[in-house]
Amino acid sequence: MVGVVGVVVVGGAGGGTLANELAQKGINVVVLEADNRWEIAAFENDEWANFIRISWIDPRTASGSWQVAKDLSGLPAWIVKAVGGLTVHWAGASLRIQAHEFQVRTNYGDVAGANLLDWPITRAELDPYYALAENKMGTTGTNGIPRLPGNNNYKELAAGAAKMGYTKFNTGNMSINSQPRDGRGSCQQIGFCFQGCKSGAKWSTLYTEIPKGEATGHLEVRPNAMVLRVLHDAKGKVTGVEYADKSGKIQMQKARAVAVAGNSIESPRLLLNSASNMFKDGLANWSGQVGRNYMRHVTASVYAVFNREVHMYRGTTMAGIVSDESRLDPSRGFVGGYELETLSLGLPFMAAFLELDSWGRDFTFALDRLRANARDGVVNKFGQTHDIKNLFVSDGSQFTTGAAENPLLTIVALAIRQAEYIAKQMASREIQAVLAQRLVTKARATGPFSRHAGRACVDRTR
Amino acid sequence: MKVETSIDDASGVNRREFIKRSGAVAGAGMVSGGALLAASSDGWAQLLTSFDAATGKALLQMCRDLYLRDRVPDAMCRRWSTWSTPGRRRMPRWRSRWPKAWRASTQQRDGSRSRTTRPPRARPTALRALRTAYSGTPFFAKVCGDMIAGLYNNPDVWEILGYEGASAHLGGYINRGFNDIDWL
Repeated sequence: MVGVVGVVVVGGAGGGTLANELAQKGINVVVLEADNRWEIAAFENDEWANFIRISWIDPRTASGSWQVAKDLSGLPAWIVKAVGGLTVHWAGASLRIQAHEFQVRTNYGDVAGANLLDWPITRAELDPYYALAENKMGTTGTNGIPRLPGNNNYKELAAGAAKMGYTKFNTGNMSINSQPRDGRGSCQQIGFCFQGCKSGAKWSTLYTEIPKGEATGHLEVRPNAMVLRVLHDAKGKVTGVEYADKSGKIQMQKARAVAVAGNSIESPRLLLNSASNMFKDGLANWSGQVGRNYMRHVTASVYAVFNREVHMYRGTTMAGIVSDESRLDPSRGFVGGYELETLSLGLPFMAAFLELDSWGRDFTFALDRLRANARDGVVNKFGQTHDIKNLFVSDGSQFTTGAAENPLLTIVALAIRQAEYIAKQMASREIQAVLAQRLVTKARATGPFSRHAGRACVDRTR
Repeated sequence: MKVETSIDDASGVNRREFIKRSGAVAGAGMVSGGALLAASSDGWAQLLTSFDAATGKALLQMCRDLYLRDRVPDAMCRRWSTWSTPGRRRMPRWRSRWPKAWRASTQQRDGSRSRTTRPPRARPTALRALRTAYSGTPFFAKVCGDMIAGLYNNPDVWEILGYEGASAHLGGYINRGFNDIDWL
């Protein structure tokens, strides 16, 4: 029996960080993960095999006139479905979102069809948490940590960037150990590591935050626990969650607060699936904005053939970053900006994504976007839902807008900040105590409660 | 477009070039590559025992058009087809339609090269038209999925392409040429 005060749904970048931060503050937390807990020893140094193992491969539906909807309409979303979430399947890029990108509405105005808003927080406000996140993750180029050595791909990128007249390029701010740190070794340039690092040099909550939290005795991770609904009482306060365990039995986990961190498809899906007589449109959806404003960290991939051998697969997946084009400069004829990043996706992924005239891969976030004003947003600037004080969103789906930079560092920084806020709220009794107790029902999960039931209505891969 | 052309040109395959490439992979690569080369002379007709020869030929052509480059011998395609066949019973309709269309496109191909040195390729416009016409079908998805897993995630094919693959068991590439290019 655990006296639970916080439940985090899915322990990925946001959830895993939040869970550890709360546990370190002495708050009891349960992490409910929909699928397995694969440790490093189980990783295969094979992009495709490990990808299939950790990904959420249920078919999704895609609609519209774009190529993916036509070619691959049942393509999975390919978000990670495993403890560690996106921090298992990521390149390691850890860039701070720039000040101007927190104020896109101010800087770019009302772009037709884009629904832009300024974030309710500024870069200055988030900077202390970025610093904490970089220290936690061992990000190269910060905290006196040397950058990774440049592999062949980096040499190519750097040579090209120099010829273009770019000046802001290096091997990136990567949360991959360039020297032993935090009980983990340095990168051996193994490669084939995007979907799981065999040496543990790349930061992942799977083998950093989560075991650290568990060591406090305040964190329990429950894999194969597919959360079906967030529950609430007659006053509209969240009381816990209902989930299906590995055998399909419906279980209930009571909690004083619930944080949803299932990525930008599954988090809103869960809120919408939690509709009740009191909240007919889903939880925290008074604004009607849950599941809207879907944004992606879009990438366009370009492959090139060189006259001589490059051996692009030797070493880290993302070998270098050019930042010159991420500046605020609407005079170029478009809003926003972009980072130029090498990405050595191997042959199977190349075969899967390389089309002569279509887009490449991208990452998803932002469905429950942060907004200052309760009328047009789902959560406040701490990821707390406007409608329900003890319900939080802790993943990338709270982003107000995207940015040129990869989202993960910001997700972690926001989670650290949110943990601080939740702890304060609990201390001041803003979040009321609910008797912590674990109920088990014998009901078999059937029909709509089976683990793979339900289809999110969002599109393709990330 | 550029990619396709470049790889094509690079593989305007003569036997010496092929052996050199497969031999560039250390050790066993040489033997294995040679064996594959020999196997490729089996010809098109035996491609798929479970299909008639014409269907098998069209499937192989499709495989090449969509993904494969000429450097990869037919034997690898045959292996793909073995993986692919379990799905065919569930999708009987494509059997008559799709490969036939592909075969038709084959007949319009540039026939200036002999098949023994270089299989005919669909013209890019014809290829795109086919892809547009058939994309979204379960068959197309299955073919793409099988080819990706069966061919491009196949260490035997990697060997032919000079792609070294996993290195965790070898201690990574940090002491094995991760930054070895010197021609920039």
